[in-house]
Amino acid sequence: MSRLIKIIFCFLFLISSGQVLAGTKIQWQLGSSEDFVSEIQELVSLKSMDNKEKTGFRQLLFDVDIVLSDESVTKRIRKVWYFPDSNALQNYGTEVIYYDELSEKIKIKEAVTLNPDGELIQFDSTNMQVIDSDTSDVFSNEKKLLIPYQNLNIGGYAILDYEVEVDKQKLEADWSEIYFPQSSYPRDEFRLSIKLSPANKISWSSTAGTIECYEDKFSLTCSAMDIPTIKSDFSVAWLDELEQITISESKTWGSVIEKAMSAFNASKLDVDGSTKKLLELIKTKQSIEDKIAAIHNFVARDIRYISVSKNGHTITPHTISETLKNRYGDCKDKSAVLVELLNQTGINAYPVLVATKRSDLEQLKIPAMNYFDHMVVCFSLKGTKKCLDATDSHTSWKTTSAWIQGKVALEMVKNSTPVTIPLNQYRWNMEFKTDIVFLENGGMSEKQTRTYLSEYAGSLRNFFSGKSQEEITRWVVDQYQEKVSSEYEPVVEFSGLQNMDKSLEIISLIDYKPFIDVNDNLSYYEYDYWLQDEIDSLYIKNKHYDSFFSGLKIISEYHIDVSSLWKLKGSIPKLHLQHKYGLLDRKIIKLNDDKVRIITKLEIPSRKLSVNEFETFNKFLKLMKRESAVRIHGNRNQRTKS
Amino acid sequence: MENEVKEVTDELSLNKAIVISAPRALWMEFILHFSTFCIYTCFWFVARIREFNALSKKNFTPWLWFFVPFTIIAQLIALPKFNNALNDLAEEHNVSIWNAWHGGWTLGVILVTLAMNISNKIEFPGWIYPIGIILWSILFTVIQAQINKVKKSLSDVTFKGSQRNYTKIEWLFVVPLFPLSLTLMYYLAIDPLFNKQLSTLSENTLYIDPQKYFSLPITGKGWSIVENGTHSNGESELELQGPLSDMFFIVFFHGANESIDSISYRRTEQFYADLSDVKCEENRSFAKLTLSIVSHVQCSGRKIGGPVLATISLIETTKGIYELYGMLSSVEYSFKNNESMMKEMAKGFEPL
Repeated sequence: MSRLIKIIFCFLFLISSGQVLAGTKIQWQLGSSEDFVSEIQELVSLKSMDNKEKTGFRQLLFDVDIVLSDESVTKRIRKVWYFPDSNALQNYGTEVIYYDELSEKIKIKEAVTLNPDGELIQFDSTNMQVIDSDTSDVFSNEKKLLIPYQNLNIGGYAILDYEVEVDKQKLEADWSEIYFPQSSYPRDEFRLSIKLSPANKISWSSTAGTIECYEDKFSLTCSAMDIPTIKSDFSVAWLDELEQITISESKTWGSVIEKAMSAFNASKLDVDGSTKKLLELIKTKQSIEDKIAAIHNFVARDIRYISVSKNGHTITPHTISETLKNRYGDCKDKSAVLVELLNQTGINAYPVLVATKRSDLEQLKIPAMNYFDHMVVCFSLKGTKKCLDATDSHTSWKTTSAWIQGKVALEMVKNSTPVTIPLNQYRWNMEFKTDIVFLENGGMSEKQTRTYLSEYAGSLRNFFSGKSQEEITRWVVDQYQEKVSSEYEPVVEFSGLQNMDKSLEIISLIDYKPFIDVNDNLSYYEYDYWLQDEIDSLYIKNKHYDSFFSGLKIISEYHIDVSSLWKLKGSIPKLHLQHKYGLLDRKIIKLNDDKVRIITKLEIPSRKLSVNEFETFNKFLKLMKRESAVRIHGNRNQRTKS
Repeated sequence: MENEVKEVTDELSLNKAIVISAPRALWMEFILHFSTFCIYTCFWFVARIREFNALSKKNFTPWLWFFVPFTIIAQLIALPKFNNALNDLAEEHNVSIWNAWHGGWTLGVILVTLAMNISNKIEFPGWIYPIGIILWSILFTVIQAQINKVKKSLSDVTFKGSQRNYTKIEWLFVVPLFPLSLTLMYYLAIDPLFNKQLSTLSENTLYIDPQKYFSLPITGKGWSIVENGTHSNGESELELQGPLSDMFFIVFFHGANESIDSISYRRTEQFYADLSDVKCEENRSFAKLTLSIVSHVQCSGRKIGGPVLATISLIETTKGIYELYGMLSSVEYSFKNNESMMKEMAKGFEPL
């Protein structure tokens, strides 16, 4: 969760709107848009008479008019809502306007409630609320203006007309904006129009197949009617899936990079303390890998995450010296330090913008800054590209952090265009080793070592961060009891909990009470619980949208010793279940009559799955789970007879 | 002094009467050879050689002759000696010798022995075995006729036993074994003639289930579809007979309550119970690129000293689990010749 918050707030203002240097005002000019209100009154009346009024909560109109000038962008936004029931009143009865406190001015022209009996109630501006979203480690200029519509009744309408003026001089990057015609509620009408002038050319693109756009010399107009609601689903990369219209003043990706690089380079205005810090970090390190590890460890762990994006630091990092001195910073601050230290070590590292919620390059049809919400650092080492996330204090530098793999990125180097960060075939990579010895009394002793590798180790360390050793042990024991046996409490040991450059091991030791009659033949099922648990967590639950499977690789090795109590017989099936989705392979090595080694390998590479594949894919997972169980039979050895 | 000793010895010899078995009715001899699957022949040789030694002062080693019936190399030396000894006796007692038969009889015995030896390695059609046993029994009945003639010409011997009766031990064998032999001969020679074959299957073709649930490649010649119940209790979907008598496949359909694990376990347990030196291996894979799991179990073992291959191929279909149960049991050479064919067919069992 902390990871998510870090990313959301890292480049928050790029998504919301613009960037800032000066103060903001909210102006109330209520009643200045009477024509619009009359138009809506007439529309509502006609619909009622026509008896074709649609039922259910919806937005009757979303209309944006944009006028660009050299100094500013003026957006006039008009919304009309219909509230058929109390749920709609409760959930949507308060209008929320997000704005940048310093670069944007808000003029509320109309905020009116229209009740079923035709009564119009003007909003009293003294009832407005302005709140911010700052937390203890995230500070920004974002504000929320709340307008709770007054005297709004079931069957009533809310009409809002307001203007946002963006001061372009206060933006750190070119102005750009993305609109999503489809929303979580139905829209009767969507309108977007932009006045163009030869002096203020814009780029625009639409991936919205249901929206019609017309462009002429003077304007761009997009509109659509009766837009259905977004279908809810279990896991959706909304920014990849939703239709969107992007408007940007950037002409080329080069200009986006140039502006971003210019902002980033501001961090180098003061690099005091960096060389001293570097020498301190790498003085005992010989190899380049050790030096990188030391630098990454320092930036990721010794500089804590605090985002101060106020006062011109939306995309501009604080100076390196300032970040080193404060020992805190957000993704761009930490990336600036990381780039500087790596460069001083002789590594040609560079910053990379990342869109952590986008994997589909097709959606980036025109150059714009506000696709991106994160920054990492990449470089080439011995022919291999490495990307380090300075905000990830749990994953080894050798592994690309899980949450940026496959995401759209823009390397801040000349002539770059958007790419996707390399995706590991198997994000969830682990090895299990289990030693089972059957005891003379019919019990069993089990030692199990679960080794979580690379990104998985990082994710687990992240999950464990902030928990005490006792809490972690309790969690592992609870997990064991939930997945394997609720009757036993294993002795648990850990390795690699703190060291981000190592794999994470969880060792559990347990002695099971007698449960097998040693005077009878052996018939025992060994369920590979951890393997099965991993499979269980990966079933695709989506119904409507494509899904991404992040890849699973498990090697599970069992050593089973029946201690001369039985003579193993029969055959444990060897598996080679190869399918386009993956492979379950099992080898059986019978060491002698009472010892057997079972090595199971499960490989399901990452892939995008379309809706029509879900059933087959889940069936595949189900079969993998079913076949992973091992059946062991043995004939009682004569000497064990009582 | 020396003459006195010789006279006493001669006198003792004359007083010691030669006792041999009475010449027995030929049909009784035939039945003994036939119903004991020719094992009686071993004892017959030992007994006859003892008689030759007694009658003609020969010095054969009787117990060695026990092995003559099933050792061809020994037969090459022993059978002419046996014939010569018989002819010498016949000549001595003025019985017509059977020179004309001599070579033919010897060759006959050797050929039958050779055929039986080969049948330990190569499986012959079922009717060959009864023919071989009958031929063998006839050959020894024929020579018994000549021996009877000689015996009847003897004057200075005492016959033991009856001409028209068996000893108690012989009865003990003949009574149960004769009907058993007849039954076995029926199943080996006659039963296959009542053709249960429904249709023959051409080599290198693919058998497709009429209901389109499975297919099976036909590898090698000699496969045919036979009536359900030929090799099973009749609950099968399909039965195929291979080129050897104990080489077949049965297709069973299992309901939704069965699993690959349960069927595989049950069959394997059965093989462990029925066969010796059992070794099983099970491999599971997906059929082609589908999600239908195919399990191949191959068990090797031995039954009555001969090698056995048992296969189970299980496939999951939308209807349920189909099982191809295969069995190959034969003599070594035939087994080796057909083993790979069986395995290939079992592995080729796939869902459609």
